[in-house]
Amino acid sequence: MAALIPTPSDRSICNRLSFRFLPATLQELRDHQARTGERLFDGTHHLHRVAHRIHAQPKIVATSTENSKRSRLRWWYLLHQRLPSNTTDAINRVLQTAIDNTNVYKVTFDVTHTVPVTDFQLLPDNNSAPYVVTAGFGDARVIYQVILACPDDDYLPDPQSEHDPPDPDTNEQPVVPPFTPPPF
Amino acid sequence: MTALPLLRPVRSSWVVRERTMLFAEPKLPDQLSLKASAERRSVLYDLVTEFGMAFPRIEFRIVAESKIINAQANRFGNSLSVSVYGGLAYHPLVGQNAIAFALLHETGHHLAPRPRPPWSSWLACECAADQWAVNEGATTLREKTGRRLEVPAALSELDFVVDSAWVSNDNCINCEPYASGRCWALSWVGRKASILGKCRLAEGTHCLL
Repeated sequence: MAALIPTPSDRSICNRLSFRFLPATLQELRDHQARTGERLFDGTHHLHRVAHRIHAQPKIVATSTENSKRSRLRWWYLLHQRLPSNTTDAINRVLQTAIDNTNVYKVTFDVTHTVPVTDFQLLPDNNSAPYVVTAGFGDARVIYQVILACPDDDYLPDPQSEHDPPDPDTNEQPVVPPFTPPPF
Repeated sequence: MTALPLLRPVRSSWVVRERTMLFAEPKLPDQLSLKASAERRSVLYDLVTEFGMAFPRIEFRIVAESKIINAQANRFGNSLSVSVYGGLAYHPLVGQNAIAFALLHETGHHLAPRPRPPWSSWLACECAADQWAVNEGATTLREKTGRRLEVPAALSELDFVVDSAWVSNDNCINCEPYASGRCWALSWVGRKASILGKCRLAEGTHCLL
């Protein structure tokens, strides 16, 4: 996410998600799936809970603890209550494919307002494959781009109903060893 | 085109101060927008055309329908683009220099070689984009089109739209990563100083954002 005037929470989420899907950290997700059989993005897990488990929540050094929690709750709200179901399905499909398909070298994440949309959706659309770039190794490895197009909306509300951290899913398996947290 | 100083006193009421929130940007109210101005549209057309000549690998566009006060570099597959949202492009306090700087800064995200964080390797850091904008970018723009970027004027114009949005972050100037001298992307004061001082990051460092 590269904007003239940075929005720290949004950028933090994108960077922490992208960190989670770097080659080495993506391998941690594959190892967890191979070890436990748990498929994190199979549609039976809540996205906001998975985001918490993989350290994909906003964390901002240059703001107050209160603001960080506020951003975190909004992020849980977006994933839990606000995203249209077909967008949630598309995110699950793309990310589960990224774990299952070892030709996916890494995944990058971004948000944009440059494409007019009526509601949150992936680009180019929720039904297609994501944007794909060859990884540049001269083989079949590719990089997925998960880009969330945002409507020209107002701030997300401050939810009263979201728990921090989100409640566990019933089918969770222990992550051993723990996923590497982002160094930022 | 110059900024309209008479409008300055109202700026803090239409720039959102807290820049930590999710998926929403400061916006320009319709009544202040220059979207109906033929002069502004002509200026924007000239800028986009010139940038297309100077940096042909990148698609430049004005997202006229958006009220967001910002600009963004995007990569969609193999397509590189720079978008200036309508809230910035049609802002009455923002002139040609600020818009040209915004375009150069976003172009710098694509073309500046480093630093690039490993988790965002397609886009250079904010600081790298700034330095590329006022050095290599401005030079290429001048050589290819004759347009000269007036950096102090650009930063003064941007003061009107970003200073109150960033004020809370300036309180953290002593926090990491600023204290390390590695990144100033969230401090407008520090960022301006670095641009005017042409400060570059040390090799091998990158933003921690």
